[in-house]
Amino acid sequence: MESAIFVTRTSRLHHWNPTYSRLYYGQEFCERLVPSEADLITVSEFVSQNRVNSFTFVTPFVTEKGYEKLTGLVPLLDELFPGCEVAINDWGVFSYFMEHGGHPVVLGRLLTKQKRGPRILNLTDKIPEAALDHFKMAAVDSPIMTSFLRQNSVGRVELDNLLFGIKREKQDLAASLYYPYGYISTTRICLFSSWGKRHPRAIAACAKECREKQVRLTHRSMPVPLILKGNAIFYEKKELPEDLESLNIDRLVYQPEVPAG
Amino acid sequence: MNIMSPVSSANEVDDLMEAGARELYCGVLSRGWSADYTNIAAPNRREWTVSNLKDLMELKNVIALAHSWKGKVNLVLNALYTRKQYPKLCEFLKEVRPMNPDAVIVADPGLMLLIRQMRWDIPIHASTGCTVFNVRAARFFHQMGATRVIFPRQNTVSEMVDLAGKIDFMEKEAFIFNSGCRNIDGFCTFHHGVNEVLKKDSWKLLKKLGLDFRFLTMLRRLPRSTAIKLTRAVDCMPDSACLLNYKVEFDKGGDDPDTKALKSWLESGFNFFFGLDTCGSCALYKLYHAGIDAVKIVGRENPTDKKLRDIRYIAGMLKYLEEKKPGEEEFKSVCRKEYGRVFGYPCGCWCYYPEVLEGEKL
Repeated sequence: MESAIFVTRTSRLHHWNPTYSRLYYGQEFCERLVPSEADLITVSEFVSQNRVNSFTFVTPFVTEKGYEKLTGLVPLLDELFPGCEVAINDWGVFSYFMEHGGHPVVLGRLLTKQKRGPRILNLTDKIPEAALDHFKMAAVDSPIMTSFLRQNSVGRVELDNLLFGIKREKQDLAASLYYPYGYISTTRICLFSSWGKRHPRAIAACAKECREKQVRLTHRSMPVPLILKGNAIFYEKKELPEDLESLNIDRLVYQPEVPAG
Repeated sequence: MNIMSPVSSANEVDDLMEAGARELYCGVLSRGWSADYTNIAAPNRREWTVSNLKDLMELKNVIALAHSWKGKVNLVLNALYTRKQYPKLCEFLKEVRPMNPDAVIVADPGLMLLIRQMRWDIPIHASTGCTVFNVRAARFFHQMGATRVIFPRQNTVSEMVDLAGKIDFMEKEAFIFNSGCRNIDGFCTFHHGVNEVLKKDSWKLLKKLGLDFRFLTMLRRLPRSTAIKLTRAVDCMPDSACLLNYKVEFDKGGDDPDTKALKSWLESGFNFFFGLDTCGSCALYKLYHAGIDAVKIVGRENPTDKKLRDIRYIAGMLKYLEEKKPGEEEFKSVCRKEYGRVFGYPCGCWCYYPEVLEGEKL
């Protein structure tokens, strides 16, 4: 079992320790937080100094502007981290890296399509087994998608540790499992950035307030507390599935903090 | 530019077409599907029974009626399908094919591949669930067989104008009215339809009578702060998890005035009031001139009178745009006046694309 740690900021590299064999670094949810060239250089130096064996660069969904910013980083990525793995959360970025080559691509958790809404926990005895099984599976594990990904040399998918369990088959692609935070939803209409603006639906300019603020959301119909950080909502689940091998999960990705902001 | 209207019953088709719709979209939730999966894992992302046609016979009728008006019917299959659903899905597609729908709206690349594997040459519309925020993503779905891209609600108008100029290889569609979800549809993994499972027929009746829509309309006539206070005070348990009255607690601190103000702002963002129907009509000017092919009115579950009012309003504004050829500021001003006249309350701040109203100053 490979053990990885995922940090979203250079200031959080201190969470690394040698028990991990892989470092994930980057952003899934916000193009405004795509690392700068200076950040990549800092991470590269950290990787050399700390003998980090393996590195995964995590990329978010992107608008045209974000696409330019992200692909503008790739020459430096090629130079500093030749052949590193890239986790993709946007089909446009997927297509770019397919053409660019040189980096193994893994399908990020925004594209692997697990339904994660916690309220399913309130329904486990009220819906048929087929429906519950459906929610334990990821759309990306359908044979037609697995075959498509294999044809495109994608050998790994990134999954969340679902509150209501995971169902996979041995022939599915190898998977990484993120813990203890699972993402539920994300937006560009960030409540932190629209604070004080006239329009609650504004995709407003921001001062990266998300980096400092994190709140818990509770409601009597929600079986677990939700965590709102920046433009994304998460749940927390610490217990891992018992038989990871039978689920073809061969990598655990630990998030020391909620991975937004 | 076509108006794409929701339809949830064959009885609505003539009225919707007469009101000005050129394309209809609908989903089907059959007894066979819901026996295994209930409404909550419906084959499309409107997981309420009332939003859907009840069976394939009704779909056949909808298609025949719409075609008699020379209109189009786009079948919504924009759920994300897992392994065991595929045999049922294949069976469904085989039954639908001879009915000649004009397009299918798809979010799952797996289903796009399946349709093309079946050698079914039907136009595929890449659903908002495909999260196309950049040209390269549009090209990806085009290569998967899609012929139209439906932009996510969370592209700004200027981003859509830019994308429309670059995407000359597909048709383009934008959202224009109702259900301005705050979360990105294609990246949101909350469930809809939970209340229908828990409350069964009482929930179906509430939806069928459109009581939630009518309650929201009542709220809209109140000052915004009063409406927010009211919906925070009365926990009416909406179905959408993003509209629940969450209690907000900071992990650290929370006693300083700034944090208290932020907490109050965040709490005001989580309530039923946020489900108010949004309007993007002011953006029609830019979308029309950018060559957007269709604009979508959301709300398959809405009562027919609401659907008709929405279509007539948008059709009227499009007609004004095409015939009078106004400047943008004049058009926006006419939109707002007309909105107040048609709906009986001002549009206020419930914009799909607030940057258009504010002249990009956000």
